[in-house]
Amino acid sequence: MTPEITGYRPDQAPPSAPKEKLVFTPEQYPHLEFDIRAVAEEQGRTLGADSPEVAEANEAVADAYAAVNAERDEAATRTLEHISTDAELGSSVGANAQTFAILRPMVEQHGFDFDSKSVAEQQGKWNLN
Amino acid sequence: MSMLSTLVKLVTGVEPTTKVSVPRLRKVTRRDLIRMESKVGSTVFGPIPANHRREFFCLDESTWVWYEEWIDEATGKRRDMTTRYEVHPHGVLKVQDGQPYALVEGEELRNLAIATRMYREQVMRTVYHRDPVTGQKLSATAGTI
Repeated sequence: MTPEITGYRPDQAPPSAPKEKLVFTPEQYPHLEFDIRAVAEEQGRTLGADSPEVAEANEAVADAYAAVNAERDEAATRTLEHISTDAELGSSVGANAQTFAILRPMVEQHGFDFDSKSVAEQQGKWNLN
Repeated sequence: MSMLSTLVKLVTGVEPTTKVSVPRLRKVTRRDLIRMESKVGSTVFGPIPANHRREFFCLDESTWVWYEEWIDEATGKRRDMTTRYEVHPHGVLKVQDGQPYALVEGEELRNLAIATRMYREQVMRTVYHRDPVTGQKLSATAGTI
């Protein structure tokens, strides 16, 4: 029997794709951030970093990222639909854990910019399905 | 407080932050990474109720941890619950304080599998900035979005 937590039962709460801007902010995708200031400059205008137009543009970009990532989450979830046996589901849970068991030591040793080839060499260990 | 709860707090830190941040001035440790991952993982099951604190993270290559802390409305006392999901060759075992080990099956297992898939999908992108499938670093090309 699982203790009930104020309306939430962890073992039964349906997973859902969070769409919080906290997670998907332009700051986390600096290489993709829409640079409205540069665009304004091309138009002969100067915008301060704290101008409403910049804030509005950043918010729109964040919304776009959230939508794209939500689609990706849904697509990732759909890949589980063909899995029907508990053995396969258990294997998937294990494979997802393996991913981080591989990644963490690499980041600890080399930082976040470690060589992608190292990851490629490990890919066979973390393929899902 | 149970020993497991203490362990969870030790690993994830006591004070929750509102932002997934990367420590810049020192080497990133496994504990740092778990804390960052858990910040994302805590959102996988939807909104967190008021007066709750939630952690959901991959502890190691065979263990997932769910930690929930809340205020009991009836008594006003703080309560917590830790659920550990252990991956074994014969299945996934659920371990909770004071409860017998139970094999996770059916809908619960499916939910867990989806949750771990979501965790991987989101943590790979937001914490590690890597493609969840290939592991390649997300690049500054239009193709990444």
